Amino acid sequence: MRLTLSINGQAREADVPADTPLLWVLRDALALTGTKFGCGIGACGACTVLLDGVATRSCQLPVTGAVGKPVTTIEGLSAAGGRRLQAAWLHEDVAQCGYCQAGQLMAAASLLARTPHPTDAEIDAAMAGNICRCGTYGRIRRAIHRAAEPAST
Amino acid sequence: MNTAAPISRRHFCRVTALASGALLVHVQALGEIAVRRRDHNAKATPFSPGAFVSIDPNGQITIIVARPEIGQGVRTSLPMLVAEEMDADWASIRVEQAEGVDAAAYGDQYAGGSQSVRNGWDPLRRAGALARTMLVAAAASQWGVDPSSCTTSHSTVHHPPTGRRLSYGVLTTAAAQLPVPTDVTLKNPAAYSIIGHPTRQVDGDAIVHGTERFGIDVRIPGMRVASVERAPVIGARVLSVDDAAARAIPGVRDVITIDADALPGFGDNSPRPPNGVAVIADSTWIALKGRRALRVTWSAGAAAEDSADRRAECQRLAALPPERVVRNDGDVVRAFVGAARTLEAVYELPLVAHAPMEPMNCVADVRADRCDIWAPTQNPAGARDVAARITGLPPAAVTVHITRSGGGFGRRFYSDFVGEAAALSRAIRGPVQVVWTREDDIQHDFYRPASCHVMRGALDDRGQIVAWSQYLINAQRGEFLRWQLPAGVTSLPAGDELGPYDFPAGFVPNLRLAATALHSPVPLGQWRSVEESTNVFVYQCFIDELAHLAGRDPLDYRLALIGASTTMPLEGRGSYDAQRLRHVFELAAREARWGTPLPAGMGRGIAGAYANHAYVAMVAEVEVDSQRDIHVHRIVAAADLGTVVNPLGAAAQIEGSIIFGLSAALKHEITVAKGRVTQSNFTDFPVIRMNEAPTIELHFLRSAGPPLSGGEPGVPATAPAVANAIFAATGIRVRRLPIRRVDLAAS
Ligand code: FES
Ligand code: FES
Repeated sequence: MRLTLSINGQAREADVPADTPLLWVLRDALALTGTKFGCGIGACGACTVLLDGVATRSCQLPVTGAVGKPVTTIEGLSAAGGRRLQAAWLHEDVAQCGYCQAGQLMAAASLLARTPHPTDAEIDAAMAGNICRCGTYGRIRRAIHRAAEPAST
Repeated sequence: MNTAAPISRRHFCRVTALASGALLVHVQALGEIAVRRRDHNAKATPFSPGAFVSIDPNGQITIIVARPEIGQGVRTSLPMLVAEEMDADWASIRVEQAEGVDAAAYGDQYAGGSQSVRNGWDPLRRAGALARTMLVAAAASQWGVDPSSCTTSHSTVHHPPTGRRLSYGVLTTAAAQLPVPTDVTLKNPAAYSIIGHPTRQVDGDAIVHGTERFGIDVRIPGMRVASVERAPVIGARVLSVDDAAARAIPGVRDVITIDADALPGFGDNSPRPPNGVAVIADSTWIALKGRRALRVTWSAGAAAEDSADRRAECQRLAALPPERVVRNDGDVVRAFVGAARTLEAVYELPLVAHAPMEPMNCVADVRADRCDIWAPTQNPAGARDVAARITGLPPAAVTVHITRSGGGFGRRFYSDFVGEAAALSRAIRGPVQVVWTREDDIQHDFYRPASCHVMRGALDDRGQIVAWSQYLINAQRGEFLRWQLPAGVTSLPAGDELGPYDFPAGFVPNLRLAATALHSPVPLGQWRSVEESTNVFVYQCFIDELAHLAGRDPLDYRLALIGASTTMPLEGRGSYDAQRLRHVFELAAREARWGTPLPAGMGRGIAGAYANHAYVAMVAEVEVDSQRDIHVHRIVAAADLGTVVNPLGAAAQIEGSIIFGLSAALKHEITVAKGRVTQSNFTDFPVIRMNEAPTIELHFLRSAGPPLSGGEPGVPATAPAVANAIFAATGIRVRRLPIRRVDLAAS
């Protein structure tokens, strides 16, 4: 099936079976491998992208569900206003293996878009769906708080 | 073209004079050094050295890392060693991953055993120092001054008396013509400006932009994707395959049965994959769909294997005399007879999976005369050897492209997933990427062995430990890793997972460590921190039990046992320093304000060990609420890792290890029923998540010696610290992992 998607502000065409999860369209058809596969059942968050600005598990979304809606992947996060968040991630040296971090960043971007100054409890609630097997949770929390600080500090 | 001229037999130093003027410093496994100039038109691989630095005439410094990056930070910490001694400008260096495997040039290239920094410490610093020495000599000769009047900083040689300076880039051609010094002087650590300074990882930027390439991201022209249906019952064979429905799916290219039992190439530290049926397709999703459409009939396999039965067998064996006594000090039997108080307790640990975040995957491209492997592997040489034997090619015809790994934890030490990919690529005569699902990963791992430990302790009338006995029933490492036995040896002795120098060996006059082997068909392997992940849990909980039996504070009790002991022997000629262990206990306790009151329902537990080559102790603060839910609020850890090369990276390793250890303490259990692994994904093999992660406070003990380790030693003390805290909070002693709510209901 031929589809046109809006990915990171660009129209992208893909010819894939209609039931293909968005994850595999991004990774296999569009060469956007920044979005990761971790569990395939919505349990780990590695595949998180923004759909209409909201964190979405791309492994659980048939590609047809993304047609007509803007999709932002990790490759487009900077352009979509994520630079501050990415800078905070670098400042805190969050990543270990780094595999989960695209999903973590997209989940955090979605959180900050709704809740610019999240409490620890709000971070827990928003980020609990994103597993980091390397255990970077403390640094993720600090990076989110840092990104949420007023720009002057 | 490259030519090499031996300069010194002892040091194996070589200079290769070539056109471009690039200077390469090459350090071999045992600190041997070679210097080369590389022709940029020449292929780099023929002399691919273990860890080297090249300086282009334009000043670009490239440092090569030969070991795989699996999240342990070697792509930052190892280049720091080189850059420090050569006074390279850290901000402008480039880090490249070594391509391929070359034991003669690189030495060991694996990631495992927490040894990368420890083993790189000397040769990599020497590589940097050698480059610096030769660059200084080149500048000094150009200026006609004494090299000792020159200094270096930020990739530049300075001559302070005259204010002259030359950047490394303009010196490379001259430096490469110079004789290679047979020895170099390493810096006084007080002069370090890179080692010991918190340094952010070099790949951070690529990671936050999604451009860092992991194994699963490899794409090569013409590549197909395979998904493999593996034997659902351990050891089952394919009897028949109905693949009509799978082949009818557009985009499915082939269906191939993998008779893994018949594949050559496995054995000796390299267990084989399960038998399986692979669907080869144009994309991952189509491969997965094709696989779901397969109808495979399997032989019975080890259908009788059952974790509950195996546990019962363990308990039965525990009542029998051990097969082997690993260590026997004093007279344990007599000491027990004469003791004022004795205690016996049985500890049990389950099978656990590694579950690194990136599922197993591998791209193989097997041609008539060569094979290329792209693999997120911890063991590039093992991957090469398996691929070579499966393809029938000589190892030199196999190139392993080492990709970044999304975690490892020991899982990627095994090359089962590489062997599958090589076999499939050979069968389809083209490049193929094998992608495992999470279910594949959880169900076809090489699990940490389950074990049962019978502990006995005897106290004198002052509460001191007079006798200690540990009896371990566990699988045999040599057996499950298929070690090749020396000629004439038919079986391995029991107890290779029990360290004869484990605490409290050497501190207790009467001590017996004994073992009996447990045999099972479950695929087993080594898991981050290996046997320390189980043994430290057992002995650091049992000593807590004895402290409470003696009516003593658990910290004081441990410190009293350590006493004034210093050098404690280890296997081989190694040793550890008991005072360093004492100091991490003391530091963790002080920072955690050990002994100060906590709210009701909360407790502090302490545990620590010299394990995996370093000293780590920690205090856990744990709450058990009225619903019997466990909340680990805070962990205060102290670590003596020797010289800490990168405090930011080392802290990440300990923090991550604590979360990893906590997952095992509270969540992980693999069970087998009717020969099948019961768990399948993060739903039934859960891990600690953000909302469950404690605050971690980490304190490094200042330590001047060489680096010890970092990737593993934070794991072992975590589970016992938590279990001991639960006892402090509730009075309930948990002797089995994972700790479940039901264990806390019986009070
Ligand atoms: S891969 Fe989508 S949630 Fe895990
Ligand atoms: S950084 Fe490795 S899984 Fe999160």
